[in-house]
Amino acid sequence: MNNKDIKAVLKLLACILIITYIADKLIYWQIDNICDKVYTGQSVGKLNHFLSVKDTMDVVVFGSSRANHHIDTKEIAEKSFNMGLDGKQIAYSATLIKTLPKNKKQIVIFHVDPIELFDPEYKGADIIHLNSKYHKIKEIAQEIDKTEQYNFLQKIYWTIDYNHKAIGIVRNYLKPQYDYKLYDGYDPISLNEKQKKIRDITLAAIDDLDCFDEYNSNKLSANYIEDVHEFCRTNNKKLVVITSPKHQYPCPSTSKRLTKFMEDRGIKHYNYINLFDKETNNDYWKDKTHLTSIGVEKFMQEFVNNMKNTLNDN
Amino acid sequence: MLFNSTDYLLFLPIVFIIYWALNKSYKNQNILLLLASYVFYGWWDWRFLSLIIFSSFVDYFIGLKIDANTENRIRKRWLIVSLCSNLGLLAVFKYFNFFTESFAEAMSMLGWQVNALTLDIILPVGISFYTFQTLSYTIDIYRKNLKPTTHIISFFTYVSFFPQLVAGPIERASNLLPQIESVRTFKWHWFKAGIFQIFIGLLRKIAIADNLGLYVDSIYAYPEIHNTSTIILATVFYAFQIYFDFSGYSDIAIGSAKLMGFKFNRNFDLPYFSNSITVFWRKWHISLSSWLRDYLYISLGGNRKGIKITYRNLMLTMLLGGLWHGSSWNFVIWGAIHGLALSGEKFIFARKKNKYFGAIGYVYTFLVVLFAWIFFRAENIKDALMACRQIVSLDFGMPFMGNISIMVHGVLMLFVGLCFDSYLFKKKIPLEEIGEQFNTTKLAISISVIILILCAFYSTSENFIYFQF
Repeated sequence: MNNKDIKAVLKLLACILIITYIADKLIYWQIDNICDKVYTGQSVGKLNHFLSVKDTMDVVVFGSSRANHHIDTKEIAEKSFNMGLDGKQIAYSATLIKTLPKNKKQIVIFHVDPIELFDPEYKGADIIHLNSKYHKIKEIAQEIDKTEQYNFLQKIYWTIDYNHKAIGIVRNYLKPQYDYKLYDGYDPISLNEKQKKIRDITLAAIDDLDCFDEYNSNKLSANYIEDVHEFCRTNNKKLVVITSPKHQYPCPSTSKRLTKFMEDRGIKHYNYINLFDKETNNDYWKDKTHLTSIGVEKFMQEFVNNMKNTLNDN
Repeated sequence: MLFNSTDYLLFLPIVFIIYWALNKSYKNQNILLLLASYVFYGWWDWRFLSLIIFSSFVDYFIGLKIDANTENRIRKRWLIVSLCSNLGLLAVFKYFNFFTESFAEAMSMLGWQVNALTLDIILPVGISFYTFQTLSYTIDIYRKNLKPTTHIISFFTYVSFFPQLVAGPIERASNLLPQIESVRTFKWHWFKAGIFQIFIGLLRKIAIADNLGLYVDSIYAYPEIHNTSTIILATVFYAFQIYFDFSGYSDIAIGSAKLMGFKFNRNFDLPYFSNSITVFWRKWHISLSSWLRDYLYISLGGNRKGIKITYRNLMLTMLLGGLWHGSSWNFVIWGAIHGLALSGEKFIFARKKNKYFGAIGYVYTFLVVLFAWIFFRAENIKDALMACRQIVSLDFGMPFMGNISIMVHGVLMLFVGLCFDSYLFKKKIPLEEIGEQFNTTKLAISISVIILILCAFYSTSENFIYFQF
């Protein structure tokens, strides 16, 4: 390799770096401008919506799709928002909880499943769904950096913040999917006849579920829950952890260990995972982990009754 | 180490810089490549390096022994030692559980209850590839098509050269060893071609294949609940997922080797632009199909012993080719479908003047390949049959879309990939040569566009599909 070759290679690499760096920032700036105006859609719109209303809400719900589809916030308080989202776990929710206003009195309902606490493989990968705020909200960037789930190239190429999101953002910008002012974050599920048939097959199937009996709590998950507990304790928030029903959940010991974990830390935990074990009505279910609106109605009666004292205290 | 990881993004430039800094001695370069290759492999699991080293030792010495003996009987004996040790490793690590379980199942069907003796064995990454590579070395020496190398470092480098170590292409010693044992000079046009092919490979793998895989996985997890349209759509997506995944891997491998001054053979040649299964196998995983042809099909007698034996040889070759992919009856059935199609074509072509089907052949070929992919993709025979049952139920309702974002990204990226491949097909330009035709500015812009597409659309996947084989 002679000097001429070295120069040619360096020139090519320099050109690529300069072109990509400039183009990346231009594209990022364009998408970011559009993104700020988007309040619908599950990936970015709902997050923007939450960030815009979080300071005024009395009750905020966090968690996975089970939180999203199971907790009808309006049954709890008028000023409430359900920030449950498909595929999100503890890291994502805990990070958002920490963005809540410091002095406003609020109830934080945090949906946690046993698997989220005891899965030894969990490394907080769901936090990367907050990437769109990586270069915009310092607290979120710090949390993402802490879990080491970020792509180091993201520091150079900012468009990675919008990886897999750009098309959805543009679509929701051009044609919002719903009126976000009427949306409280709760998404009820109802099934058509075909979906009911699929549901019946799914419920009848036997799953080989890992109960994680041999594992202690995942350190990262435990830390996040303790962080959230501390944040709520010192910032005028009441933390309620909830576990909603599952269809014939086969791991009672794991469920008990979750409750014990919360009790040991003085965290209020409502565990309804086996609430419908004696019910044979398939209409409550979409699948083994998600309730339909019919199931939610029944579940919410139980939950709201139990929550009454907490609400009155607030 | 995975080609699509940030580890490799750092590893490759470091090796590249040191490699060309050592260009006064190709022997020093070979030592560097050997060490780098062992680091590359050990990144996954250093314990299995011992298998590669063992395999390399055995075949290095056997190669010399075969060459040193003139008596055919002794040469054959050494070849058998090589076959037994290499295939023995494969049998233990890849097929032991499969055969014991299949034996127990067969016995229980006959009414005898036998407990299958299964071992908790991890499949070493790349074992099928480097085993075939070392086997071709000793067989070529036995056939007197190749002289063995006397440089142990060269041979070890040949076996473990990192771009092709874990998922091919299965490079023959006759192509790679002479390159390893001669001075390499940096060629600017090769560098341009190599770096362009690496980025095309990344685009194919992490922007196209991985996006399609998200939908395919969600459907094939529960084939029993989906209608005909959904299963067909998922299978079409899988056909392109596996193509872009594996051809993307091969592109990165070939491109990386080119940066070091090595020329690998093509592994894919737009295989879905084939008008017969015979042509398809000349364009799909070329290094494996030509290996099977030269060392299995021809060894069995090829087409020299009459038409019936030819059919038998084709079937056997494809069945074993299927089994090479994994220890599952799914792969055997996949091989059988291709074997039957190849035999059928042999039968038809023997009675036709033209040895091709014309335009309809493209449709026929794609449909046969698609049908075979169902068995290749399904988790087990039961799921594969369930998928087939759902297809023949002719329930052509709206296909299940799942997450719309995943679907849109998958379709968009597939469109990009198909446009690029159609361009290559129409212009008859090999991908391997495109990069070298660009000037610096054009190349920089092309790669920059790919980088920006990757930033916006990449999808993360645990592995390349062919790593499991």
